[in-house]
Amino acid sequence: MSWLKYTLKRLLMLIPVIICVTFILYVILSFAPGNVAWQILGEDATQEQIAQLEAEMGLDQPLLVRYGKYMLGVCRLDFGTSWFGGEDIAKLFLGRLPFTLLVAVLSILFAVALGCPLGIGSAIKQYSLMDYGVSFVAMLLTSMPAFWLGTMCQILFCLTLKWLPVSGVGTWKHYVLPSVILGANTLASMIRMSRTSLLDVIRQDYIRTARAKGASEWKVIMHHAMRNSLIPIVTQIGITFAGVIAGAVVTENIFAIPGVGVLLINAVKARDVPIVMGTVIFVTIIVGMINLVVDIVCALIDPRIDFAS
Amino acid sequence: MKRMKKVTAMLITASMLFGLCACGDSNADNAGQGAETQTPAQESAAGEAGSAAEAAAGTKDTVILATSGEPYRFFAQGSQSCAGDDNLALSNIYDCLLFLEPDGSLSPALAESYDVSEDGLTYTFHLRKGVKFHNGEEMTAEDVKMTFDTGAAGPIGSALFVNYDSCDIVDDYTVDIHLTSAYAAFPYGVASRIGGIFCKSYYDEVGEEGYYAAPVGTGPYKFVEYVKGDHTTLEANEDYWRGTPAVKKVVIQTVADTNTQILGLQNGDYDVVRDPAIDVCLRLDDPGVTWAKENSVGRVTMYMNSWKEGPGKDINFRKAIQAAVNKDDVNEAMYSGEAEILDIDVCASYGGCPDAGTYQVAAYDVEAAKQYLADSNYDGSEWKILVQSGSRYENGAKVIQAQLMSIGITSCVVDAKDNASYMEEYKAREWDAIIADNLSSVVDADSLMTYHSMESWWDPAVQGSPRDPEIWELIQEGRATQGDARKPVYAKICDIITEEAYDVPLVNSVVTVAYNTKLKGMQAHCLGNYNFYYYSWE
Repeated sequence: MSWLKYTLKRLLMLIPVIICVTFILYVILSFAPGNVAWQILGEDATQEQIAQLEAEMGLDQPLLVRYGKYMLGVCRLDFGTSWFGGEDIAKLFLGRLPFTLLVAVLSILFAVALGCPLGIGSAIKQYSLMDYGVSFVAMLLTSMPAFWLGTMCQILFCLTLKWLPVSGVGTWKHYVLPSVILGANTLASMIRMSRTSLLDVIRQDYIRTARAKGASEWKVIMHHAMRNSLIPIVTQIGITFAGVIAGAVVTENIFAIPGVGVLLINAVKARDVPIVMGTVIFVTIIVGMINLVVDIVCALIDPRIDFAS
Repeated sequence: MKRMKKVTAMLITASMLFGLCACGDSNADNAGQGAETQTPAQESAAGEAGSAAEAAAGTKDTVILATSGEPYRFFAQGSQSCAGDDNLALSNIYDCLLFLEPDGSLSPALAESYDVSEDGLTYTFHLRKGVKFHNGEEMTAEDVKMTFDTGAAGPIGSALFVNYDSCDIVDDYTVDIHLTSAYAAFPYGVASRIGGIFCKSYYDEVGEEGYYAAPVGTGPYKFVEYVKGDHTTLEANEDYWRGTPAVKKVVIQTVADTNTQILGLQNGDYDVVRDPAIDVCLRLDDPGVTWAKENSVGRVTMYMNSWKEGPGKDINFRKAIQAAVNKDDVNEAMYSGEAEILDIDVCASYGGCPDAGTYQVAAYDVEAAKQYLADSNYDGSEWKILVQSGSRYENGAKVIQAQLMSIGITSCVVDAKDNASYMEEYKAREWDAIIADNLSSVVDADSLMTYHSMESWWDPAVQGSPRDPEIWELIQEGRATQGDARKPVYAKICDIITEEAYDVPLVNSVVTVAYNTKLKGMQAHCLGNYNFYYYSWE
């Protein structure tokens, strides 16, 4: 029951978070320069036409009234329609989410599958050539910006080697480069996090005790040390995953992936407030759920974490 | 008990993760197709990843065009405006009474011919018989009247159907279009995007929203689908009045990154790239890819605010700037030197464009510029040039800024703004100077009125131009005059503009297109149109 209570409590806590985030966002967007009615009608529209459209869209009403009406609609699960294309916001977002989720999951799998073993090896063989090499690679990956790395990989793997398509979605080959590029930074974080976390743990007394009792090095690391070093890694995965959901704009732009990041950034540029608000609400919910999953997984890993208290 | 807790926790976690993954429609019809189905672009790339552009991308009857800006308004006469991006689809779904050819000339289209009354107030169009809409209905004068009446009432009606009054049906294949006063450039409005003839009966059935969602025209291509942020698909109109197009399917693919567009073209993922940067085109050395350019119907000009308080109100200050700008350097910065320098704010392709040698030209003269500046009231006040950030005009503005610094104007600031902010400031007319590509669908010297009208039609409270009564009178005269007799009128206007230094014409902007060499019939169009009807695969 405590698990259920805790989960419910966390989900309910999302409501004030959403209200806070959306209100701040709505205020900021209302102060952003640019007249939406002008953009919809075009630069040749007259003042009367603009005023009429603003009245139809409710833009002539006070900010709080507009925000209140919008949130009332959200409570009825009506997130509105795009000001520029008329598409339903929920449908638009949910249509885009699979692409972003797929790239996000693949990038994290890539980062974890490669980063954790490298980090672990680096920790075990501290100060060795391997340790320095892996640290160097991690630093390199952190330093290379995604827009540069993406284009370089396109030139190498697509144009020169002709192994992969340049952009788009559809086949598994389309997701290789975006996942790698998006995962590159995460890979660096995973390496460093795994290394640091494991180094902390393998210096503990119980590890020394396990070795003294004759346990093999493999058992010491995988059975005793790994589990205790997992929590920061799982937390890092959660943070990264949450960040990627709406933050993979550069990767989505380079590889022409019709994902959430591009949707959001284009809507901000165009001042398409319904899309921005709806997307942020959905992303907030997803990030909240991811954080909750991370907390539950951490509790599963570490029995000392007890939600009942 | 502990085990129960663990199981419960795992179940909760699994259900939340499942919920996340289940979010989204695998038949995502709003944002591209999911992994189970492929768009035509990806069908061609699948299994052929990395195929060079030498082998035609896609099937032989499909053309995939990569563009940063996607079309999404598929009905030009609606309550929403429509822009150049929308014209990618509009110019293929709809035909106008007249065609605007790639070089800016007009040719018969849905109208076989037209006559102009002596007073210039009535245009009689003789319609082509037997032209069918995509839904099988025949185009008649009723559809033409509906198109013009609706278009004129829309947000861009007054700008493109200038002086439109009414349209009368003479018979099923003849219409009279009446103007409130003569306007020699009216045929260009007829050939513009809001001149695309739509089906009255279909419009009456589905309304404006229905027309936006599923447009019907007489053009060579029918609308199939639009997936926001991903692609628009058109298919050939088998019953097209000029003959069935060779290219059966067109995919307008949204690709935001310009590098990706070119790489995709070279890799065979795309067949055509819309408006690539000239410096990129000049570096293309792939034998399977080539490029073309055409002078656009836009002129890149730096307009100076001469009516608000500030340095720009002083004619000597403006003349100093006029003389200080080295247009070759600006051309190099914006178009790698490939654009044509303009001496007047009129493109050579415009109707009524005065002949060279009949108007004054402001010479580049640094010493004269310094003298003008010394004679002016310039006191070091800030002087801002408004441009769209990230655009080539920002590059041009920075070059001009350096040139002005060299003559002593040290307070010139390049004010680069994002599109929404730029539009707002552009309209408010609070800028000191602005560099813009004044693209005109009305391919006529009358487009000078954009920056020389006596009233700001969007807001009469805003002064948006010098409001020179002499220029305005000459504009009216130019409108009422027909043929070559208009040229001296516009020459006089250009002389006044030069003498008063209202602006500094820079270059005739350039439209470019990069494409697969096996794609024939490709031509850059002055308005940036892509007439897929003319394309075919080798």
